[in-house]
Amino acid sequence: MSEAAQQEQRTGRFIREPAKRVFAAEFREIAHQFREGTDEWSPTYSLLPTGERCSRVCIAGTLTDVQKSEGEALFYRARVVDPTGTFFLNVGSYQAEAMHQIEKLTPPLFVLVVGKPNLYASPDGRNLVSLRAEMIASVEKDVRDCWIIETAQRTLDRLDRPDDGDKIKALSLHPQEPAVWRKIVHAALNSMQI
Amino acid sequence: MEIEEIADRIIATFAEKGQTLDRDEVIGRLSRFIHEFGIPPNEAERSAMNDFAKRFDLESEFASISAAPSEQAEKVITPLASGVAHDIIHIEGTVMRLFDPRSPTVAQSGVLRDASAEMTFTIWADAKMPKVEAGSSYRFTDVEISEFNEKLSFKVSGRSTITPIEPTIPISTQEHGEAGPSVGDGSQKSDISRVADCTPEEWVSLEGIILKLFEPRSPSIAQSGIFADVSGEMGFTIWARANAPKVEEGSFYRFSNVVIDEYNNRLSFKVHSGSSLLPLEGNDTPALPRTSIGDATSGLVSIEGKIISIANPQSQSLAQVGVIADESGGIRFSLFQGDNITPLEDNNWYKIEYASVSEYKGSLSLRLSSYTKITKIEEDRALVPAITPIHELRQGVFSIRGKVIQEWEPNHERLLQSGLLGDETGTIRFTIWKDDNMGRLESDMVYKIFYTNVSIFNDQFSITLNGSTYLPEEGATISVPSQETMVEGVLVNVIQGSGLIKRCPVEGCGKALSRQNLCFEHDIQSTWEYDLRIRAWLDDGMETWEITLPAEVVTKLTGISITSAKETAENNPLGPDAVLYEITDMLQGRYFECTGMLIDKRLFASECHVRSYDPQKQAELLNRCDVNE
Repeated sequence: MSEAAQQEQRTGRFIREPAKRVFAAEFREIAHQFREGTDEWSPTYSLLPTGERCSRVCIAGTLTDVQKSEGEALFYRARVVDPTGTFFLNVGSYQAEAMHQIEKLTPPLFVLVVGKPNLYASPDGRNLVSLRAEMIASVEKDVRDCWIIETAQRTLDRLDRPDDGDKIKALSLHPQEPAVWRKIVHAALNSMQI
Repeated sequence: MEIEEIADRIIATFAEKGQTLDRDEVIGRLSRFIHEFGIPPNEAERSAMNDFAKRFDLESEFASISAAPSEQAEKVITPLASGVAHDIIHIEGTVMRLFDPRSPTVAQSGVLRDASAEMTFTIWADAKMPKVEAGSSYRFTDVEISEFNEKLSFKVSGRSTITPIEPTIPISTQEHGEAGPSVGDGSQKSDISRVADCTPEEWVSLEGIILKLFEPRSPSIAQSGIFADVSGEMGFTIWARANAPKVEEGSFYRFSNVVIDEYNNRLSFKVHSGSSLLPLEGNDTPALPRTSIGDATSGLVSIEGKIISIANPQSQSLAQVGVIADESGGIRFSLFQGDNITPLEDNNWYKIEYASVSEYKGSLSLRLSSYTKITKIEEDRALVPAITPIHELRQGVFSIRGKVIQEWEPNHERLLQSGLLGDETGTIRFTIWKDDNMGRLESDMVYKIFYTNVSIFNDQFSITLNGSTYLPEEGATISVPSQETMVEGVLVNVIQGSGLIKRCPVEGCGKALSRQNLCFEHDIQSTWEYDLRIRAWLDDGMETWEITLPAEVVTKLTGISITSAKETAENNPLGPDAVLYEITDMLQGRYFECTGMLIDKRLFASECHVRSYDPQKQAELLNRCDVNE
């Protein structure tokens, strides 16, 4: 049963958290996760450097690599590349649907992935961000192109939004000039003119 | 050519391990990555290396190219006292002091204290951190402990983060005013303010009642609690140094020259040595004109109303709860154990003076306390319930007139029925839980629902009919305006009850049968009608909608009809699941624009199209980036 279905059974009526659109260059800079509410089901949010919280993201790009890991528990690691960088995917047995989907995929392929950001510290103290995939779909190039346009728009929307609590917090953690993000968005859009 | 250079580099690497690669194959693979998929050359090289390593079983030799870093434990906060030189740790504490920076390479330095110890710190200018402030608390991550002259300190560098947090160490409470035994005699009756009109740092005089007293949390506080007047309620603190007489719960006082204070956007007042307070009794208690229940706001009120219903209190501290109403509306009331109030009787009218209205979770309720004057009204007055238009509903107790415009499939075993009621102004969801006294509402019938509790569920108003009175209005009609709406986004998740489904054959039912062919209303069925539908979540990155695609729409999008789906289900070992997997693979992860009836975040689609790449939008966004090339 999907997570959505389980939650639906629990609460009667459930509104799904939207999956924020984010480029790899911004995703890998996530440095802050937090929870609001002490409720067992309150989601963990990640703060996007452009100033918005997300509990889920939707990404697209080229699946370049899939590796199966058979240790104590079976899981997959994969890489998805968008015009701005690389997403690191983890697919474990808790995401049965995504696991079933990734087993069938041979790179290179265009994929669209929905999942949850996962932030952890490497032994040398750096932040690492991976994506715990919930759904992976092998898609047409047109879908990837739609996603680049939509993600460009959502990223600019975040940059152009008035400052609120999340944005002020993000600015304190990510002192980059907004112009840096604009350049990344611009380059991503331009990458499609081939 | 870059591709050839990369190919040669890969071939050379494998040659060192004694493996030979075909140059054309390597180039072909790289150019597919780079040209067809637009992958940067370094990523293409990494991916090709990895594939060939797998082929020759050399993966362990290339540990550095693993797909993704492995997951590590979450950040653990280390107490300062257990910091060891050269450790990189995460800490939380309060900045006690800041020093003048002694070098331009230092942005700030000072002393941080947590529950375990104090430590000096240095924030390098290169780290470009936001400034910290003395007296504020922060979380520092990835800071390095260093040792100098046998003293430990920590350094904040570019890879560290600093996050403001809630105070970790209580900062001593500040007191207003000066010490002195002077308690005013309260004789100078200055102008009395209203709680609702107070502004921070204002000096005011207030008249009202002490609703509640708290345990003082510090020796500098004599008493604290909640105070109310006609306009609202407010917290208060009486400083020990004010040497004021003790106040009592349920008694009226005049507070003169108190100071309004603001903390966390909430106002309270402080009674200091320059303030005075005077008990009010008898004719001195503030007069309260009768308030219509529909107009009641936080604060003290006097009302006259009829007891509409009495319910079992869910908490042991409550003696009685129920709903009281007049012609303007209804409100929930509660009586607490220990207040020794004679319980109110159903269907009787009462005059209730000096009760307090307060807001809890967005909904108003009326509390009757030991100081409340309750008089039974013997004459029987008529009560015509005030009907509230649906779009004017708030949280609280209201009467509604609406038509059942939609019923939803029950998704909980205790649920008897849920759906939507609508009037000319809007719609609201309703729920009926299974209960011996409860029956289902009929589709398209208009109902009057009296004194039902409107609450918020998933950001939407909703009513639960259990415990309310409702009557059908035979023959009445209401036209509920509806309009088609378009939503667009990625179909991110196909949910249960999708694909080839069976519907109950009972006339007028048509509910989806469970896997065991069970109809929710008509038990197990041996025959059924097949149908094809998809229920899924559509997500545009800001909002999500639960969409339902009927058979015609599914067929248009996928080419799969009810007939072909039945064939697949009959000829495939997976049965109907084979149809669901096929459709899911075609739809999931794609962009759609769906048009249909949108109610309460659910869309019943009449049309659905695949969205495609839009070069004009791309051009607009390139301009919006405002980047000079």
